Amino acid sequence: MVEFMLPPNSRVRPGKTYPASRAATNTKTFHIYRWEPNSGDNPRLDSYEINLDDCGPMVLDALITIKDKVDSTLTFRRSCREGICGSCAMNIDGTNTLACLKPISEVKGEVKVHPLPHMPVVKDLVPDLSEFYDQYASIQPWLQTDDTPAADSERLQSPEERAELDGFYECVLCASCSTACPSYWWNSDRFLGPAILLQAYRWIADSRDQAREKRLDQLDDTFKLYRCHTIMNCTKTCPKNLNPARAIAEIKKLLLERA
Amino acid sequence: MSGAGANGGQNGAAESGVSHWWGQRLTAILLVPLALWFTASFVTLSGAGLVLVRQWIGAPVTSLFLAIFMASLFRHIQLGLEVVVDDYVHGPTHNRAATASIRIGCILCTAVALLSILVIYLDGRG
Amino acid sequence: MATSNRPLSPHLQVYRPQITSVLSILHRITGVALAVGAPLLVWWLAAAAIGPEIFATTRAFWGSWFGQVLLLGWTFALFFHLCNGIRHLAWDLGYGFDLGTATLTGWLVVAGAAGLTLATWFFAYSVSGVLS
Repeated sequence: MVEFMLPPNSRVRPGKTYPASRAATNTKTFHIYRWEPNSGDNPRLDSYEINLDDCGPMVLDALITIKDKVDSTLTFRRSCREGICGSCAMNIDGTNTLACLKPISEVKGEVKVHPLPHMPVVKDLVPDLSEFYDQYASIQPWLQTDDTPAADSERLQSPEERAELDGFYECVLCASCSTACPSYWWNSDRFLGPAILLQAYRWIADSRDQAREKRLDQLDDTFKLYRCHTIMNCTKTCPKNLNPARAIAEIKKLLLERA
Repeated sequence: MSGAGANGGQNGAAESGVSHWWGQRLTAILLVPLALWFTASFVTLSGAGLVLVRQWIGAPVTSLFLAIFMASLFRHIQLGLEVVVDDYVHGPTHNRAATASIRIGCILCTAVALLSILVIYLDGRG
Repeated sequence: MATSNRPLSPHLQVYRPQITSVLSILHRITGVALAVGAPLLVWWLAAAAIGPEIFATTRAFWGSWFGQVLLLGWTFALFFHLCNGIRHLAWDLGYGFDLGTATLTGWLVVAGAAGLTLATWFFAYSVSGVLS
């Protein structure tokens, strides 16, 4: 039976509080999930009061400010700070998004920051994405062909055929959608989840790819694909405004057409 | 009719996904008009005596539609509950037990419903 | 690196309920409720087939306040599941995936289910003073 509660070692305890300096007048409190792998303790929620006059506009800026000035042990992934690398995906104010694209001002009241939901935690806001990446590899995300074009030519695609990939190729694999999906929470070991299925559709929809039948065969599975019940949390949460739910519906339509 | 054997009885984790999914949609499409028709009739029959109710059930068109309604309803229920079980019940033994109980329950309900309709229909003829 | 003691990050505990997920779980809950109620339809048919005494008993049960509350719940469950089912069928055909559209159709489903439930009961009570 699926566990709807957190296991005993995962329950979040109250943590430390770090007040802002007395001079600060424009402050906001960030409650941040912390877990230290070597401590043997349960995760805790630490509270940091941040001077917004001394901090950039995005939630990622607040995390960097905390790490630089308050608590250097705070651990999180980040790289590009402009929504293209997909590293800083986390649960902010109850929904998943990229911290670098989430303005602090969008959150009313105090800001709660958790790691991506229902994932094993490596440390603080860093989830273990190994299984997610294994699932990505399983759909063979590269162009597959039976023939080889002549040495002086290339695989051409009309502008219309190229447009079929719009809304799908932009995915940065941040895992926000997959970890927002209750079906993925309960069945991540067998359900591929919205991000990987969107990626799968990106190759199915590519006019140059010649492995479409093989790809569809692989997806015609009660668990890999059909755990999707169109809950739409994926589309609701995607920080790139993509529509994984639509991509999955397109795969289901293709499977029905050839059945 | 939806036909319990249409998928070769290979549901649960072993089945190809598309046939289970399509079975659920097909019965859903059938059930939209049938459920509306049944609810409207049931409301109209509200408070009516047994004679009137049997007259309604036993009319040829009604009994045919009722039979299709009951069969697709319980097929839809079976497929839907199987999805719920596959989502939440992961142990293979429990999963198989739950799936089997659902199937038996749905077959029983369909059988009793069809038998009742048939009895009333024949009674009205004879 | 030891990985076995890694905690599981919070999920249901922290994820914000929204119209997408709330209507989805409501679809499942109403579906299961209807599955529980469906055998009672069979009971109704069987009672009509068997004879007047048992049919009268069934009637009395459904006419009681408890039976009426159950029927009210099932009427709403039926209309919600039916309206939201049509929304799902549209999605299956590839329509209605834009977030704005999905939100709008979600509220339409709620309004439709409530309206149909009220209309059904209004009609039943104005015709015979009971739904049974």
